[in-house]
Amino acid sequence: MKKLVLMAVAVMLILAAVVAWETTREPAREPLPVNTRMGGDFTMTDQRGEAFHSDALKGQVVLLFFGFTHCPDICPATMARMTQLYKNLEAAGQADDVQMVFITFDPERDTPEHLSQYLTWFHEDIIGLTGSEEQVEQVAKQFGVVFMPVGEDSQGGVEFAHSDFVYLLDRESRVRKLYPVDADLKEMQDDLLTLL
Amino acid sequence: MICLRCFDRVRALGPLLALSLAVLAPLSHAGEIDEPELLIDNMWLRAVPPVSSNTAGYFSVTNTSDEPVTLLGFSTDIAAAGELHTMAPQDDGTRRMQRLPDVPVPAGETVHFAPGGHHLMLFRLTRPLEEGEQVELCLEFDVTAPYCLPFEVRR
Ligand SMILES: [Cu+2]
Repeated sequence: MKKLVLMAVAVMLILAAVVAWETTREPAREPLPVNTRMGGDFTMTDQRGEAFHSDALKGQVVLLFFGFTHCPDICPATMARMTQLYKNLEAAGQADDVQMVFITFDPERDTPEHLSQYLTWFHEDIIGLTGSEEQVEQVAKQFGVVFMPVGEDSQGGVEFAHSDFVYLLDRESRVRKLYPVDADLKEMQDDLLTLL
Repeated sequence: MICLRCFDRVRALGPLLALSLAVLAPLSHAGEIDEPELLIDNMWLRAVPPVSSNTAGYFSVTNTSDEPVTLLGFSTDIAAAGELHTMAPQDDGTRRMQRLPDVPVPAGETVHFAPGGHHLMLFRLTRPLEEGEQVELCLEFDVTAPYCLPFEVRR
């Protein structure tokens, strides 16, 4: 009887060890699927006032997000989180081939100069893009971004309703994943590293 | 600070209560837990670049009393105007800011003002805010004197 109990305990210990090993082991990562419905070439103006073609992003893994600098809640929150992610990558020596890109859909107020002042405060490596209304509309369409001026707020400022995803682009500028604004930074970093 | 609205309510409850509240009110506004009824914590303002003229403030309020309380607004020296806002989801999947006339805090419940949801909207900052500094905001409720508390500026 004693032997039986001992054997049962031994079997259970082995099982527990196997389960523990299985669950702590890094799962083999499936490559991120390519989103073929989004993306494409675009031309805009960067925060130095110079023409910017999307070809300049090829070879880099890109974190792309849209917004407007007069937005006080979601956009600065996203900016702060993406900057944090980038700083984490920098600290790990993994940021060299990573590029953050912010595209405004409020070109009237977000002039290159304003964008430059706004973005530099977060991080000097962020590319800020503005352009004509047509250019903004085109790039928004390419990435399925919905934005709409919704009239003035009570203080006379134009307000936009907008979708607020962050786009992860691979070295060939293909969209590989979309994240909600409150996505887990560690998950984003892990995903991003698979593209480097 | 004297809140006339509060005294209106108090008057209805009788002069004796009014007197006791008037005596107690000045004692009740120190630190995060001030007053038996409302517990306010996690107060912060979002640090924004100096070129930004608007920002948002966040906090949590717990109503530990058995009476409903309503947040009516707030005041501060550092912005030309202040409003209660929320982010309202639209039919097309986008979200937009929307002004709230007031925010009820039911008895026994906690209401969170947090990024992506309710926020205190500060319009036209009178000066750029420094990360780490404490800024005083006075939250105005219907049945209490204003709660004037430090909000930490952070990213
Ligand atoms: Cu707002």
